[in-house]
Amino acid sequence: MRGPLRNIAAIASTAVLELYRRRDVYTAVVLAIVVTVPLASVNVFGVKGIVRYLREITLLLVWLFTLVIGLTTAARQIPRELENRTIYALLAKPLRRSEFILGKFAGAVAATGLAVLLFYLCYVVLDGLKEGVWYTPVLPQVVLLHLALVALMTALVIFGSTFLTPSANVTCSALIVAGMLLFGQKIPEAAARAVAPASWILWTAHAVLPHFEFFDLRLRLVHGWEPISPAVLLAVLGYCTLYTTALLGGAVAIFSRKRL
Amino acid sequence: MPEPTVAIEIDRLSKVYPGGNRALSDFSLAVDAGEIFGFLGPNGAGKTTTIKILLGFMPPTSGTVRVLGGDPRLPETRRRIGYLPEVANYYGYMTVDELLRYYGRLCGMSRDAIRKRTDELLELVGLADVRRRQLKHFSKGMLQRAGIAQALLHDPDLLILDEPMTGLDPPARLQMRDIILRQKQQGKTVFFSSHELSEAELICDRVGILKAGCTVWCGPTNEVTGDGAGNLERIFLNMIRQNESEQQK
Amino acid sequence: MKTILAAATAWGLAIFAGIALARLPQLRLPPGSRSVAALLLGGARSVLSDDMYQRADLYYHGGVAHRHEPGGEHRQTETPTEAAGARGRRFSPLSEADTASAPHKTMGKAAAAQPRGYSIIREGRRTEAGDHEHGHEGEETAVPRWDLWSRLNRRIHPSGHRHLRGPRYEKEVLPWLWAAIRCNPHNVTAYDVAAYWVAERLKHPEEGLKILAEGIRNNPDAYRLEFTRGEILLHMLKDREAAFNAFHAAMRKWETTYARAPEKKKPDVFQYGNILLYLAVLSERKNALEDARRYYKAALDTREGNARKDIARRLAAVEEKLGAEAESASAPKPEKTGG
Ligand SMILES: Nc1ncnc2c1ncn2[C@@H]1O[C@H](COP(=O)(O)OP(=O)(O)OP(=O)(O)O)[C@@H](O)[C@H]1O
Ligand SMILES: [Mg+2]
Repeated sequence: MRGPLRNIAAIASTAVLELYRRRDVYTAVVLAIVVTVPLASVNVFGVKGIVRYLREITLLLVWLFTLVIGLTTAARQIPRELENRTIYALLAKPLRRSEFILGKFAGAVAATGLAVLLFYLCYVVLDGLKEGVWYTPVLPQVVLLHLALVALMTALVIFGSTFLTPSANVTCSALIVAGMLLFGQKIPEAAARAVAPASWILWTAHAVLPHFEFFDLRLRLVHGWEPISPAVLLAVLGYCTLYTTALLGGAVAIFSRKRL
Repeated sequence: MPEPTVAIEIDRLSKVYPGGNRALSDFSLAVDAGEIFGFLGPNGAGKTTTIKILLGFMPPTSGTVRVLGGDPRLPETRRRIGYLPEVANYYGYMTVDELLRYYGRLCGMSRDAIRKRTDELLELVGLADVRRRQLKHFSKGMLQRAGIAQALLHDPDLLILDEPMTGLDPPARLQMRDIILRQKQQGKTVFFSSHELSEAELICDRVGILKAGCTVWCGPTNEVTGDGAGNLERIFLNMIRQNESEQQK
Repeated sequence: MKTILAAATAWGLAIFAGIALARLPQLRLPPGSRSVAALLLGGARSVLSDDMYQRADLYYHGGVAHRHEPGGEHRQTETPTEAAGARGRRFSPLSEADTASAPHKTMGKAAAAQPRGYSIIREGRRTEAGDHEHGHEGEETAVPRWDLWSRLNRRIHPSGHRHLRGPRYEKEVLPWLWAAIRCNPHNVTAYDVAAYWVAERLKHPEEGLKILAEGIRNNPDAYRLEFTRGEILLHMLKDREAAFNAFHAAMRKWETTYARAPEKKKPDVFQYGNILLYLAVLSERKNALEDARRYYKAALDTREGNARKDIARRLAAVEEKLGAEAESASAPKPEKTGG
C-alpha cells in the first residue's frame, strides 16, 4: 500500500478495533434479538405465517441501533483525540491532516458498516426462520443503500466535529438525520403551503440538506414492493458520493487550518 | 542534501492566542545538531507553545521556525522528529504493542522493523511485561513510558520532549536520562522542556531559560555550573526575580 | 456506550411492556373495571390503540399512506370498490334474501353520506381470486420538473395504490389489529374489523366469533359487534336462528345506546336500518310475517330515495302475503307459502 492509503488504513483500523473492543455492538445485537424473538412467536388470533409486522419492527430496531452506533462512533472520532491529546502524538507523525480526516471517516464507516452487516445477518436469519424465504431482490439494495447512508451520515458528523463542540455536533447531526428520514419527503409540500419567510427556509432546507430518506428502502422490503430501478439506484449512490465528498472536503479544509 | 548543523532555528517568533493572550514575543533560538538542549522556564512561560509551533500544530503569529532544515508542517520533515507530548492519554482500548504497531505503520515502517523495534523499546522503557495489557489499565508513569517508546520508535534524528520526567519514579528518571544521553552518543539532537533544573544541569549541553515568552538566558551548562556556588537553580531563580523587578519598575 | 445502552434499554422496555401486556390476557379484568393496559398506559392507550389501528390500514395499502378526506380533492383517487363499499358493510341485508354476498348497488350512495372510516373496512368485496397484491406504482401528482430531489423520492418510495389480496397477504394486517385491541379493549372498531377480517377474508369464522365474544365481553353495549356476529353466523355459518338472535341483541343494544344519550350523539340510523333489515328478512324467511312487517316498517324511516322505495316494495309484498294468509286462514285448508 502506498503512503496516504496506508496511513488512512492504519487510522481506520483503530476505529474498528475500538468499536469491537467496546462491545457496544454485541450489546445492541443481543438486545435486538431479545426483543424480536418473542415478537416473532406472538400468537395473532391463531393465524399462522404473518411476517410483515415482524419485518417492520426488526428493521426499525436495526435502523435505530445502527443510527445510534453510527452517530456516536463518528462523533467520537475527532473529539476523543483532542480530549486525550493523542492528536499531538499522532500528528507529529509523518501524516497529513487530510489523511487523518479520511482515516477517521473510513474507520467510522467501516466500523458502523460491519455492525450494519451483522444486524442484517440477524434480520435475514430471523425473517428466514419465520417465513422460510431467505432472499428477496430488494434486500441487497436495502443493505447497499443503508451502507451509503452510513457513509453520508459519518461524513456529516465528521464535518460537524471540525467546528462544533461534540454535544452540539451530535445534536445537530441527529436532528438532521432523523428529521430528513421522517419528513424529508414532505418538505416541498410543507414549503408550498407555508408563507414567505418560512417557505424560503423550507425550500432552502430541501435544496441543501442531505436527503437521508433516499436511502431508506425499508418499505419496499417490508411490504414486498419491487426493487428500485438500476438507474435510480445509481442516482442515489451518485448523490451520496458527491455529498460525502463535499462534506469531507469541507472537513479537510477546516481541519487543515485548525490551530491545535 | 548536506546535514544541517542547526537542528532547530527559531527566528523572532511571536504567538498571540485568540483572545489576546500573548504566549511568545519576538523569541529567537537556535539548537545545534547533536546537542542536548534544555528548554527551561516557569509555568506558563511558553515552552509548550513553542514546541507546538515547532511541530506545526499551529501557526505562529509572526516569525519563522525551521526544524532539521525544513518546514515542520510537511510530513517529510516530521518523519525525522520524535515527539513526546506533555500529557497524553493514549488509546485505552489498545495494548502497548498495538499502540506501537499503529504509530509504526504511520511512520512507514515495515512490519518486521516495527516488531523488532517494539521488542527493543519495551525492554528499554520497562513495559515488556505488560505489553498485552490494555492501556486503560496503565498508571500515569506507565503511560509516560509508552509515550517515550512511541517517540523513539522510528529512530528520529531530533527528539522533542515536552517535560519527559513528569510522572516518572526515580529509577525511570535515571533510565530517561540514560536514554537521552544515548541519543546524543548516536549523533541525535534532543530538545526537551523541563522544570527539573537539576536534571537539566546533569545532561544538557546548553540550556535556554524562557520567561513570559522571551529568552532571558541561553548558554552552555558548564558556564553556570562551573563553580558550584552558582548552580543552575540559583541562576534560574535570579533571572526570574531580576526580570520581575525590572517589570515592576 | 451509555447513549446506546440507554436508547436500547428504553426501546427494549417499551416493547417488552407491550408484549407482557399482550401476553397476559387472563389479567384483563371483567368489564367495567380498569384493565392492566389502562392502569399502565392511562390515556395514552387509546391513542396508541388508534395508531395501531391506522397501521393496519396502512398495511392494507402496502405501507403507503392514503388520505381519506371527505369530499376532498383526493376522492377521485379511490377505487370504485372503495367508493361502493358501505362503511365496512360487505353484505347487504336486502340482497341477502336472494344470494349469499353480492353487495347491494344502492348502498354506495348511502355510504357517501356516512362519515368516512378507514378504508380497510370500507374495502369490501373480493373481486379477484388468488393471492396477490394488486395496484400500481408511481401514482403521480404534480412535481415541478426542476425539483430533482422530489422526483427522485418519487422513484425511490412506493407511492402507488395497492391492496392486499388473498389470505396470504391479507393476514398481514392482523398483528396491528391485535395490538390495537390489546392496547385498548374498548376499541370496538378494532374488534369489529379484526373479526370480519379473520372470519370473512381468512375464512376462519370460529376465530372471528371468538374475537367478537371477547369484544362483547369487554364492551357489553356495542351493537356493532353483535351485528357483525350476526353477519358471520348468517353468511358463513348459515345459522339463521343464532344470527337472528345476534341481530336482535344488536337492535336492543342500539336502542339502549341512543335511549341513554339521545341528544349527545347523532344516532347511527343507517346501521339501525341494517339491523332491522336483517331482522325483517330473517323473519320473513321464518315466515313470521307479522314480525317482518314490523321490522320493515321501522326500517323504512332509516333510508331515503331508492333504498326506501326498495323497502317499501318488500313491505308491500309482505303485507300482501299477510293478506293472503288472512284469507286462507278463513278458508278451510291453510297452506304455507314462502321460505
Ligand atoms: N490554547 C490556548 N489559548 C490561550 N492561551 C493559551 C493557550 N495555551 C496556552 N496559553 C497561554 O500561553 C501561555 C504559555 O503557555 P504554555 O502552555 O506554552 O506554557 P508552558 O511553558 O508550557 O507552561 P508549563 O510549564 O505549565 O507547561 C500561558 O500564559 C497560557 O495561559
Ligand atoms: Mg507546558
